[in-house]
Amino acid sequence: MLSINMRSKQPGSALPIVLILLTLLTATAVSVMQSAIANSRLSGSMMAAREAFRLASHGTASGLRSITDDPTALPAPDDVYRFPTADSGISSDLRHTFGPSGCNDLAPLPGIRHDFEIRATGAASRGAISHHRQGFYICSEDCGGQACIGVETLPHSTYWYVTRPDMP
Amino acid sequence: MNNTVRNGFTLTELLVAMTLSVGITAGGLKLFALNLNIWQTVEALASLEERAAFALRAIEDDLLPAGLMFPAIATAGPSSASCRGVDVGSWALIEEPAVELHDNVTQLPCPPYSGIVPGSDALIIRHLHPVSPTPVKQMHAWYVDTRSSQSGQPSLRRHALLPNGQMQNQEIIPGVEDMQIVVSQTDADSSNIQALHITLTLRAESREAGLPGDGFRRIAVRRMFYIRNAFNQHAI
Repeated sequence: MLSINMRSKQPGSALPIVLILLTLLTATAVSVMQSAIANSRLSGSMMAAREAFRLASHGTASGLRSITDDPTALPAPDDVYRFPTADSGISSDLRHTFGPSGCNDLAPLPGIRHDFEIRATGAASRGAISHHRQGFYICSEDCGGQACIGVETLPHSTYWYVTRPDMP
Repeated sequence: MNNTVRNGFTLTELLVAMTLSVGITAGGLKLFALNLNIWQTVEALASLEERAAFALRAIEDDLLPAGLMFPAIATAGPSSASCRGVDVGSWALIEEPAVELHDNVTQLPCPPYSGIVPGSDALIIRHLHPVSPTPVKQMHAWYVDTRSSQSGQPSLRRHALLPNGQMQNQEIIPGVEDMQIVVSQTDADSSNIQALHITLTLRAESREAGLPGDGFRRIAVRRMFYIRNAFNQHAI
C-alpha cells in the first residue's frame, strides 16, 4: 500500500525525456543521411559528366581513325555520313562543311581542299550528355581531266570544341 | 533501531568505483579528442581537395578550347581593350599565341600589382567562345593573388576580357596559394604550347594545432593538359 502511494506521487518524466532524445537523434540521423545522399548524387553526376565527355572524345577519335583507314566514307556536300558505332552511348556523324578550294599541301601537284566536321555525342547515366565537334580537311590531287596518280593527304585538324546541343 | 540494515557502499568500494570511473571517462575523452582531431583533419583535407578539383576544372574548361579559331567565320568581340584605364588592346585582342606563360603577374600589362605572390606563374588563354550565330573572342589571364573575398585567404583569380572591352578582375576560388606551370610539349619550332603541367598549392581556411610552420594545412595538386587546338593544321 505504501509503495502504491509513493508510485502515484512520482510524475514519471523518463518517457518524455527519452522521446525528446529519440526525436533529436532521428532528426540528426535524417539530416546526416540527406547530406550524404546529396553528396553522393553530386559526385555521381560529376562522374557521369566525365564519362559523357570521354565517350564523345572517343567518338571523334574513332571517326577520324575510320576516315584515315577508309577515305571512301567521306560524304559529298550536303550529305551526312553516320559512323557505325559498336559502343553504346556514342553517336557520331560526318558532314562536309567547306570546299572545294585550293590547296598547296600537295605542291608541286595542284590540290583540292575539302573541309569536314565530325559531330560526336556521348551519353552517360543520369542524363549526362557531351557534344564535341572536330573539324578537319583533306587535300586530294586536282587531276583536271589529265593523268592522275591519285594522292591525297591525311586528315589535318582545323578545330575542336565542346558545344551545346542547340548549336547549329 | 539496532536491527535496521542499511545497504550502501563502503569507503573502499566508493574509491575503487570513482577511480575506475575517472579512468574510463579520461580514456573516453582522450578517444573523443583523437577522433575529433582526425575528423577535423579529414574535413580540412576534403575541403582542400574539393577546392583543388574546382580550380583545376575551371582552368581546364578554359584550356580545352584554347586556340579555337574558325578561319572562314566572322567573329564578334570588342575593338579595343582597357584595364583600369590602361590600353591593353595589343595584349588582349590578339589571337596568338593561344597559350602564353609568364613567371610573374607583374609581367602582365594589367594593374594594380598589389597582392602579388612572388614566383607564382601567370597563364594567358585565348580562344573563341563558340556561341551561335557569331563566335565571341575570349581572353583570360589566370594568376594567384594574396587577397580574396575571405579575409586572410589567397585566391585564384583571372583578368577576363568583357564584350565591352573592359578587363574584369574575377575571383575564381579562395584558398589557392601558388600556381606553377611547366611546358611539357611544344610544336616543332617551339612557338606553340601543345601540353603543359599545372601545379596548384592550396591552403586550408584555418590553422590546425600541432602542424609545423604557420599551422596551415596545404596540399599540392598537379594535372597535365593537352591543348587540342594546338594540333590544328597538322596531320591527325
